[in-house]
Amino acid sequence: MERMEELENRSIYIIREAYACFRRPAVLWSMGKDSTVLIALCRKAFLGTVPFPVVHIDTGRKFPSMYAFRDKWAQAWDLKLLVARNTAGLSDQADYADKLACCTALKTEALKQLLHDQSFDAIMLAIRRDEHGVRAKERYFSPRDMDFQWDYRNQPPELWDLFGARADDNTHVRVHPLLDWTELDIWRYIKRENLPIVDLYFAKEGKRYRSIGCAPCCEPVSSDATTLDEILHELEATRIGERQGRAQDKEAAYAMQQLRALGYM
Amino acid sequence: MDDLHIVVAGHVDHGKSTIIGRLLYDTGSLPQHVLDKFERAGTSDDTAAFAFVTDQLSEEQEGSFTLDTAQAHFRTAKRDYTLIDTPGHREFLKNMVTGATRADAAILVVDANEGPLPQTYLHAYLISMLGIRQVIVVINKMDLVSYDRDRFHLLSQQLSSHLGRIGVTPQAVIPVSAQQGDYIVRQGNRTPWNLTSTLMEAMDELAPQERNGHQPLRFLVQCSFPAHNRRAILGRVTSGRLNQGRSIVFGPGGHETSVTSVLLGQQEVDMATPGQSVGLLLEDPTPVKRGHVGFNVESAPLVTDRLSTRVFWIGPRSLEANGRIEVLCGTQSNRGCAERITKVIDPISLETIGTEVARLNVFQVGEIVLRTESPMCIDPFDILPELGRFAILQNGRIMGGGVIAG
Repeated sequence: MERMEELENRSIYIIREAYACFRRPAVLWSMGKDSTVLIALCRKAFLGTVPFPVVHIDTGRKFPSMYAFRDKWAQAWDLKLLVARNTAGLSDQADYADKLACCTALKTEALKQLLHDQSFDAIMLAIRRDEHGVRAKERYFSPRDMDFQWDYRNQPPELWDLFGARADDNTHVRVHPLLDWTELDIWRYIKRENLPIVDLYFAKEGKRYRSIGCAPCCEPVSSDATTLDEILHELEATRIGERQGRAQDKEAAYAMQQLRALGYM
Repeated sequence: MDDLHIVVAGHVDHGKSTIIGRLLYDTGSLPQHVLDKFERAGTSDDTAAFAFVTDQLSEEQEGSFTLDTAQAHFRTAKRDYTLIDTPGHREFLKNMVTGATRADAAILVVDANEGPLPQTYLHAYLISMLGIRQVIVVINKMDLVSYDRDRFHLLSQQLSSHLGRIGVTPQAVIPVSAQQGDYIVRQGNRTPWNLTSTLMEAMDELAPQERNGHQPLRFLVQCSFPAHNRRAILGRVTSGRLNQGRSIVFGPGGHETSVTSVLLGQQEVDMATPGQSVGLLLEDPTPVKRGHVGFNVESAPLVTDRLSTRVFWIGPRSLEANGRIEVLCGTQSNRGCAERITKVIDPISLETIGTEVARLNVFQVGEIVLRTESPMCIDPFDILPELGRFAILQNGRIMGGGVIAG
């Protein structure tokens, strides 16, 4: 099987396992390229509809075009959209100079509140191994304890496609259907499936975003890529890492590991 | 392009992570920020630098060992590769097995100075049990034995002979120094006596994993789902071909019906092939549910509640004869017990060290007769692996796995 086809079919298998084995699953959508691919795969898995809630963790600091994209496609795809905000975190007007504290308050805490309110027991996320060395250590079904902690020192085994995942009371499982995908795979799939994508990824005046999140923490990269083919061409040639424009990865050594141990995506 | 998954196995500290780092470095696959780190660390003489490409946890870098499995993807002119790093400590065997069950081929790494040690043998045994038949043996750290030709030949013979006894013929045995870069991607000039290919050349010689559409049909049911005002059956074809219009039987019960439509997403297709996740509209979907297996009447799987198996036990608790377990096979889940633990095998001497024992301890391998509460659809592992392999759970946790004897 071609790599692209293998990836697509495996991801759909994992998404359906999450749906079949958990009481109340949900999928996170940040409107970025990866989670937009994940939503597309969920639609394909269930023959055109997404049968579980689609959650946007809204920090209130996303780019305006991301909100427009969300509203347009949530309607077009008939998604059960749930917007989660950590209102306590947002009302605090202090500028979060400490990236770790900011991500934890606006993303991890918002997710915690939502899980508590909605009692989701499985959350699908579009993380990929090649994004970060710590994410490369993840399982497809990754349990989180009551305090949201990721026990990366003692992860459960997964044998072949036998995941054996289940959530105990008040815990949840993170499901990672795109773990095997690379950044290039994502773009090749967007092209193959003709998926819509936020325009921030395309170059304007010599700059484009390679990875998007909150506006204050994303830096565009130099690029002239204004089409999908040009993006693919650029990525095939580059040796610059994808998340080089993401501020939270550049804090102290092992910042990503700390963030993720606390329940960050 | 096809994508070959290769697990890198072997005893702790024999250089598994370093080989992966070196392969990525010498093929130009590392991103700039990782190369910058090499520069800052003083690079190629720093023994840990290459290993840190996959050893990214603070515990791993501070302790210079691999705690959990990781994967690194790269592409050559020939194909896509996914390298699966694994820990060599016995305590992390569950993580090694997690990585190895994803692999089409294996690189077994042996330290030239230390020679094969217990985890070399256990990993080799598991590779064989998991049905990985394409194995490259790498004798690493040749720099530590002054690139000694006789030392290499001695180890090469010793390992080839041992692997032969567990049914594995190595595709190549290669003397390398991952640290110095000899015979990983480039030959280097320190082993003029060596006539083997480089590791990269040997990897390019491995055959891609083919899914065979000519085998008997197996369709694993994951769930049902309302679609087109009907109950669609969602699942995956693991072997054979599933044709629209043909009759299909669902086991273990034996419900026979016919396939009205095959759906790939919203698109209707004539046929589904191995590996495809599809939706089926059936003439009568009523009794079909998760755990059922679809097949053609002329090539049914074995339906039984007694399984003759080979198992590996990763714990943390031991497996007690007649203790309660749960067995997962495909999407089937069934309660049962290990009715008999017939044999415990020493992976080093390959001798039987116990027969008809009361328990299989953590890190042991053996032969077991499993008994399940209700019949399951199974196949011999050597012929149709997806229904020939299983996981064993205790208290809701995977504690072991195995394969069904032919």
